[in-house]
Amino acid sequence: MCNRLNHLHCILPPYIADKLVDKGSEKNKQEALENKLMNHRLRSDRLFLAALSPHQQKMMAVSPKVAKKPKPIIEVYSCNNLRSLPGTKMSKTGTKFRDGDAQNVYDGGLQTWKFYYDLFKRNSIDDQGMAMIHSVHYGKRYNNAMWNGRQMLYGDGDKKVFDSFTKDIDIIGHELTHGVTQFTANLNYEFQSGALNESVSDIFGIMIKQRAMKLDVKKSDWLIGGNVMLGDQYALRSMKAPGTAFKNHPQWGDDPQPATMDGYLKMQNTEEDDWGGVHFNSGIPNFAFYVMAYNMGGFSWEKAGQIWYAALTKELTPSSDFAAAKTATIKQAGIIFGKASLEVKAVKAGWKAAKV
Amino acid sequence: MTHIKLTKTEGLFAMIRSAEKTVDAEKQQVLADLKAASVETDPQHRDAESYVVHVDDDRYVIDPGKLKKDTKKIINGLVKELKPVQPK
Ligand SMILES: [Zn+2]
Repeated sequence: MCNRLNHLHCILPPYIADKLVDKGSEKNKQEALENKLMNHRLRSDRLFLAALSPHQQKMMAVSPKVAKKPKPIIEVYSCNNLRSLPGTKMSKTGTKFRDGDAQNVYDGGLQTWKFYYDLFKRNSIDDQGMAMIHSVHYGKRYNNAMWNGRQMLYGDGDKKVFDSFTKDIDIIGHELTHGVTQFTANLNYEFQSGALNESVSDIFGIMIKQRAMKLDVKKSDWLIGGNVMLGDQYALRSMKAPGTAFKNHPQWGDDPQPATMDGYLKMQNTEEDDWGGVHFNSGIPNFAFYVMAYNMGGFSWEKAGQIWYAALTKELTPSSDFAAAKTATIKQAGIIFGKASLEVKAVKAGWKAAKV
Repeated sequence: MTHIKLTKTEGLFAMIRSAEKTVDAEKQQVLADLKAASVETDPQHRDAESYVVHVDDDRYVIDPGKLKKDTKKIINGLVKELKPVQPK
């Protein structure tokens, strides 16, 4: 099967297709030409979609399934340690899976859907009832989790440094929020807009965890990936204190995330430099969010979450940088809570602490 | 003799690691194998990991699963020697 969901894994690289067109048998030539045509169409589709405004993209979006009355559609597949997507559909009895990782992503997906629907009346990732598709057991000892533009996928981890990437609800919320961002602000995945994209996923990921666990801003550990990274003293990221999630780790050394603009990393817009350090500089808006939520007190999603959701869906655009996020959140805090409110002061204090 | 540098980013988390060595392999063959294992980056992929190989001034973003035997051995060897790179 070769559809838009898994096209990256079944199309030939262009240069191999060229070779087949030149030297293959008649049948191969025809297949190669068809393949080339499909590649061309996929590339054109992507360029076309990327040029649309978020509103236009929403209108163009094809949802695999649309629920009439808002309710979550969560599908879980197993890749059976291969890399072809989505894999085989996993069966459940009621809401129970026999596979622990399948259960984790189902439960995390449900909490994420409820978070967005209960608080913001958002019906799934695209607000059109899109099915939330999770593929677990992706690859062999695969150390990662990812949103690929259509679905989530999770590795089992190598069990030496990493456990299963399904073990943290904040990571599930993080990946699903990449989908929400794609259908809203669609922040470019490079430099500051990319770091903001990453930060939005951490911000909503941590709020989804806090709400599921009924933790207020004081009780939360503000850690992303506290379970997936083996060793009690390690996590992937700390929003409360970026740069302290791990120290002297035998394989990873020290957490390199900056917490303020003083430590902003000027990296290149390449794969090997993390597209300008999107997973590094996200520490800065992460810290700003922590400070503002902490200053507001109570449950993060009740005030800070309202402000950030409004900013994400009404103010931010693909090229928004940290300064634009500051302006957007101050503006929305003023609209929701009043210009002279404590919430506006807390938002300003957050950005000031991060030196934005 | 061919000098090869592998840089791996880990995807979801802020980690970049690299390793390099000079190997006794024919450069043109290594380049051809790397070209054959090259992949295009999809801009909608979020948190994807990447393998970037530099051979002198040539640069390839590859899928190690697509490498042929000899070059695969070289890259797998480098994967075992990856060390964190502290970004500036
Ligand atoms: Zn991410």
